[in-house]
Amino acid sequence: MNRFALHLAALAITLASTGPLLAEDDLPIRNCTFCHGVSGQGFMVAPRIAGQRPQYIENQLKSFMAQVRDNPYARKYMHNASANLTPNLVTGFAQYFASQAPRPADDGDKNLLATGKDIFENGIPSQNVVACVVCHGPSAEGVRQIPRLGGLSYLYVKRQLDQWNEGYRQAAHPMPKVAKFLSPGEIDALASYLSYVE
Amino acid sequence: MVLKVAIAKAFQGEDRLRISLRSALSLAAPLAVAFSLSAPEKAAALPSFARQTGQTCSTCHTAYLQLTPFGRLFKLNGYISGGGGPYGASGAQDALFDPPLPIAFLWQAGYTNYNRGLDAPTGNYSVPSPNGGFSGQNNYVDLAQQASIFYGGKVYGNLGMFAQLTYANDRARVFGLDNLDIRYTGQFTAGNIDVLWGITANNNPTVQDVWNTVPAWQAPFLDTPFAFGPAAGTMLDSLASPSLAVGTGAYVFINNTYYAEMAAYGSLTPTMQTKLGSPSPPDPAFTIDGLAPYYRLAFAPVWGEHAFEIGTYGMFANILPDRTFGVGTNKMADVAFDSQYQWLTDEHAVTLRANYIFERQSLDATTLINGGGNGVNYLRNFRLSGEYVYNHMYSFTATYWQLTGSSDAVLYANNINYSPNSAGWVFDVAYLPFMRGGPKIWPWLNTRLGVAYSLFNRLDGGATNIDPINCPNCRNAKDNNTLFVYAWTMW
Amino acid sequence: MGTTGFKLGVRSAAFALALCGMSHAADRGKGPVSRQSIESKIEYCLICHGTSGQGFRGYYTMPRLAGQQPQYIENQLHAFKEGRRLNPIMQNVVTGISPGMIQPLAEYLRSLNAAPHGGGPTEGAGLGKRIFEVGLPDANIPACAVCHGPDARGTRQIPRLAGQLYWYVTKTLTNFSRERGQRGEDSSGIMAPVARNLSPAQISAVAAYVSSLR
Repeated sequence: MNRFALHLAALAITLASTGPLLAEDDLPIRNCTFCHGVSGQGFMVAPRIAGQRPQYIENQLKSFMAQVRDNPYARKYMHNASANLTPNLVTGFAQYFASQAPRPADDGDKNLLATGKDIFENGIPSQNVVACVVCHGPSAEGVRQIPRLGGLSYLYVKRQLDQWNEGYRQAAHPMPKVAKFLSPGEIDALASYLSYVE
Repeated sequence: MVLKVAIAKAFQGEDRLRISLRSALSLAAPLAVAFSLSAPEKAAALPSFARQTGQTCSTCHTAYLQLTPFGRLFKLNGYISGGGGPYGASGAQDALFDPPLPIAFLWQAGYTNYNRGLDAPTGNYSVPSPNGGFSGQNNYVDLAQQASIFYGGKVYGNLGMFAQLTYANDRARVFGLDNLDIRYTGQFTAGNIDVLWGITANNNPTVQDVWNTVPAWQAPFLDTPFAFGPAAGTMLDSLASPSLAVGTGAYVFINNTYYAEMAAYGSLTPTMQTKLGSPSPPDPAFTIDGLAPYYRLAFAPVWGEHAFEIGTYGMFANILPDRTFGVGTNKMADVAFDSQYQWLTDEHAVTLRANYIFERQSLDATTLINGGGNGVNYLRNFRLSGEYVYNHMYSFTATYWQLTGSSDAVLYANNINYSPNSAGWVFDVAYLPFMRGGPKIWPWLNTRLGVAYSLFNRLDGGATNIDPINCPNCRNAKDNNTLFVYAWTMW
Repeated sequence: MGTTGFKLGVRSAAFALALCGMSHAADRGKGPVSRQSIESKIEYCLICHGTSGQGFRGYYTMPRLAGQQPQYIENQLHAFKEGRRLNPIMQNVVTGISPGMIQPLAEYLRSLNAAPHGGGPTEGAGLGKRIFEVGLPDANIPACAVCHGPDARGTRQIPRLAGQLYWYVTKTLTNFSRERGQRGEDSSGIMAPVARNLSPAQISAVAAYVSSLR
């Protein structure tokens, strides 16, 4: 047993000398990255948060805390994850992930790129589909509280648009009304296009 | 440096049962040897993880033990991710523990029923365990099959630990160290490359792995302590049991997709193993001479609600069979390939797993000891498993396993046709009421109530007359079919 | 409650009127326009221009349309359609607005009475008020109120400015010719030189003032 204890002690000393044991004591980003991925590029159904608008991140965290954002995965994961956030953590996480360089998911259908781009930039006036560009910007980069969409994964964008039509996230004005005029094919095209936008 | 520290040179150790080579040495060994008394004790979905992260079990498990991709990342992050206490949206306001204590408990009870009693028809079979209280009939109720205490979670900073202390009837009623995995992890981003890295010290090869294909964490997740199993087993399967080999390794997980790990394992001394709580005497069948390198590579892309993995792992060891010195060593080379696919939604969770371990045994030492037998043998363990979980509540699992290998008249003298070949199915149906959170008073309670049925197509060389030495023409593979009803509670 | 009820009443009445306008439009042989398609189009307009037409600040600033002069709205929509007013978004939008829709849309928008959007800077509102009410004679700037009315609500083809978004007003007055650049038929002949004579600070002041007016 003594020998084992000795080994353990030696191991601990080695570990301690390899680097600071407390690498990120101020901002526990790994509370976030075990789902959103190392630099917040998104993982499984957890969306990319790297490069997202800080005001948008803050607003979403607050709406998770207040349980206003009510889509199924928000309820399943984020209501719990945000329940104990302090205002400092909300700001800290928002600033940290906003400062990470976003990388495009590139997971949409390439055949739909042209259609998606057209809808994004021009809308479909005859069907009352507004042009996404007016709020989200020419490179879908977002501004202030309006989220960056460029490079988000196809599946995430599609799911959000679908869920507005299924009655979730109704507080996220004006998106429920925007989604209402989009056909499934158009949602596919938009989500595909956006996944490739740098 | 780290490697040197964590693993003593040439640990000398003794071990446990289940195993191939030993059975060759004791031809008259009772069937007891074949019982997989060393079925690895597994445990997870630790309630302490739930407290630490604020998440329900269903974030990291489909139906425990099966991990989701988030569960895998949590483990690779070294059990340090938090966000919970005090306490997730559904959590009780329990100011007693702030921060939440990383302590959890496990209790398992089971009822075992064999297709045909061990004493039938001649009654000359020995009971499976001196401590088991097996009735000699074909029913057995064990109300405390296993009880464990865990330390699961962050220790300090980037240091985290999963440590399990277990009392079990099948572990010689000793309270001792079960699974252990200590991790120190970090992460960084360089350009377009995200790197999550870690070092781990653990006490059985593959216990550090995050895919439920590997021996330490594969299905079935819980078995009766008196489960039958083939006398032969690969080194990786056999060592995936607490403290038979201890080791340390380093890994990287790149862009949440590419995994690479190198580790080295050595054996502990018998004294050390006994002190850690192994049955006495510990099974020495796979005593490692020096250090054995272990590797793991995996490609694991995820997209939306889908996760895929294909990988390889393996271990190369010089083995002192039964800790016999002076006869040289057996050279064992285990190379495994595995794959896992998951489709996970809020409602449905499908997991498909495949695992194939190929082992080349160069038995210089064993042939010398036995004065015969093949110089080189092969063993192949193939396993396919599918799991469907509905609503995080009802779990259905089917597993097919198959062990094939060279015939050896000395090594497998007890087996029909001197063959290790065995194959069978395990079906498991379970009800997990609390994956989305337990009752208000203790939201971290979780329970798995299940029924498992093990079906043997072949065992130890054939479908019929499987124990020709001890009981000629009296026992068939299907006699060993086993029904197992269990309750597995964690809190 | 009473006020809300009253507002709703006014709004419904306006909508009814708008629909009468619509049927007139249909009478004029521009093709039938269903009530439902008008309602959808209104919803469409308000996605960008704010739930109550109070304007919206996205990547670009969408102007307030609530309470706007119908004649002005009609003129602008025609200008977009005929390519006299250049704006890629709106030129696109008007392709989905049939002639029969224009009048009911304009009538409906006039009936909206949203509170100002707000959110812009308020510094210089005093100076803005002075410029708006009496102008800057030295700089050859007439009082805005002369045409836009003392309460900035406009009249006929002259737009309402009250409650218009600060960012929209500053953007429009900065380089008016390029922003509007309509040829001939509109008021650019007056507004372009006026805007040219305003300093950035004065533009900001006027914008701060009018954006606060109800």
